Amino acid sequence: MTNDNHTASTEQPTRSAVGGESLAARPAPLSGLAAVKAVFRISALSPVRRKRGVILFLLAMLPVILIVIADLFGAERGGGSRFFTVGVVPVYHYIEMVIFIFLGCSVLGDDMETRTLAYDLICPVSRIAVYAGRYLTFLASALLLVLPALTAVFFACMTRYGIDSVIHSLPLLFAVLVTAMIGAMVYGSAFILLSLMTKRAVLAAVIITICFEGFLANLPLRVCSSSVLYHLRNLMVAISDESWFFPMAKLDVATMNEIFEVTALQSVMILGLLWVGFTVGGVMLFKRKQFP
Amino acid sequence: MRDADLDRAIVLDEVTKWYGQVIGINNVSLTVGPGVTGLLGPNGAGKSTIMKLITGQILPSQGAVSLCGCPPFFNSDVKRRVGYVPELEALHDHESGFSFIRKMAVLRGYSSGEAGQIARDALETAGLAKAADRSIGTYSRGMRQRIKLAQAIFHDPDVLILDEPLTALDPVGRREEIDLIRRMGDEGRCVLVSSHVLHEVEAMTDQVVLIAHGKILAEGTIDHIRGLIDQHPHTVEIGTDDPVRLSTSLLEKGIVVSASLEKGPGQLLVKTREPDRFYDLLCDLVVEEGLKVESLHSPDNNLQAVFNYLVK
Repeated sequence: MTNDNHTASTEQPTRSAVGGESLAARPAPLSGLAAVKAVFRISALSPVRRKRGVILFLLAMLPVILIVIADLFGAERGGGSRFFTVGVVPVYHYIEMVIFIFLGCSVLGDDMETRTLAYDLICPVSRIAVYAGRYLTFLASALLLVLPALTAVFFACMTRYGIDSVIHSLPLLFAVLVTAMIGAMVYGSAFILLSLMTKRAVLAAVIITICFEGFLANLPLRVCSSSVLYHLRNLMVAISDESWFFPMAKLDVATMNEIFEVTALQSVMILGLLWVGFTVGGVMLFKRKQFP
Repeated sequence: MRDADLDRAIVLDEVTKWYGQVIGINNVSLTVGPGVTGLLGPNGAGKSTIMKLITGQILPSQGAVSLCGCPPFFNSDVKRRVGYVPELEALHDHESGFSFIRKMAVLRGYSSGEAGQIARDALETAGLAKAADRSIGTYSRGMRQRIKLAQAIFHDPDVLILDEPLTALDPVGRREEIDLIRRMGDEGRCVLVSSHVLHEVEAMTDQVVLIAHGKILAEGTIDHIRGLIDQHPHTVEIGTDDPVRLSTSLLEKGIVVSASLEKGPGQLLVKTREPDRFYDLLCDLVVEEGLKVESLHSPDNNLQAVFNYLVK
């Protein structure tokens, strides 16, 4: 793989190169997307290559493992898509969040804690590029763990009921995967922002997640709409027409819609605004942040 | 900006840096040009703060910092001309030395192919070729120091900021690194190297900036600094079989300003304003009066004494 951007202009060293005669001329600094790409290239998937990645992978696959074990003991799966929407996806939301918390808080936070971020900051790439590259690293790592695991869970739930059942429920899988991606984007930017604001980012993220996503998201009426999870569920319902995503009761969606109707478009806009807010906040903070 | 402009490669203009309630550096003005300049000061003096300001990791609370004519915190492009060895030992322990240097080269804009070649060359230069594929976590402290230097110089920088680069190196490695730093200075690069050991800096350069408690105490050549040492009474501790007779003789000659026997039996502590003449005269006295000198030590002959004196 070659980098085409560096060849645009090169400056010949006026002295003999320090490291040896074979050193290439000093290239022009990377800018824009080339810089983001370079940061992403050097850090891509590094969060999931470490021990923590293995643990998170096992966590992501936990529902699959449990379903397989239950199957070995002849347990009833509860009937295809309903079991998937009611039994697995709500549980999976919390597993996802644990993955997002640890990856989001570590993608910049680890290097800030060990002070190895200094090596990135002394290179001729802008801080925005460093932030963007690391954010993409988070997305790549998180989605690599979450999407295959969700797909595996889906097939583990559905295959017993035949190929027709799988095909019939594909919109459901699509809804879950799309919302997982949107969730990764929003949660990732939120947790990276948190890691820039506090040294105890994981703890703070856990508390905030429990309060907003664990507690508020399950309350009725307007209160629950202040959580990201509510809007993700709302989108799932809109895409798949499966009201089971709301854990309270089947009627809850209809009741809530009557009292406080949030359309899919509104949910997309709210999630988009949250993502923009968290991302801009993170970028602004990182641009001005000092690393003594 | 070409080499001729390196005359003012690093400029600190009345810079103050606060860390909350603690002051890092206080109203420091400094200009560094081509050649090697030693930044000399005890631990906690503010050396690393200056280096972090220069490399754009932190912002000054007051004043202005300029690197090759640009404020480094807000201008990442200027960093292509800079190599930096941080003081802290932190490195990416989970990756290999080769991978670390290659990644740094990619961030500096080299293609993957070039970055690989550069990493091999840099590791060869640093004497780490055999350990290239080992994870950095398994490196000794000396090896870690060498790989930090390797990442700082592979891109042929105009300005080199080296924070305690000789720490943990063995004598051979130290010699090699000193030679390398001197060579880079001789080539017209601007090299700022920090240390708290006078003789280390002396081996690399004649130009020294003395810093303590966040303030620059003195700037100039090593001779100038030594002159400052000589301006205040120089303490010498002598272990002898007859301290009373020796102190009497020294006082009679008028070469010492004070003599004390309180150090212990067989120990004489004297203060002189003419250390060179004192040592010559002491040799003569020992021979003339048949005295036995068992030990001779000057607690003032180190950097801390200079700091203590200048801070007073």
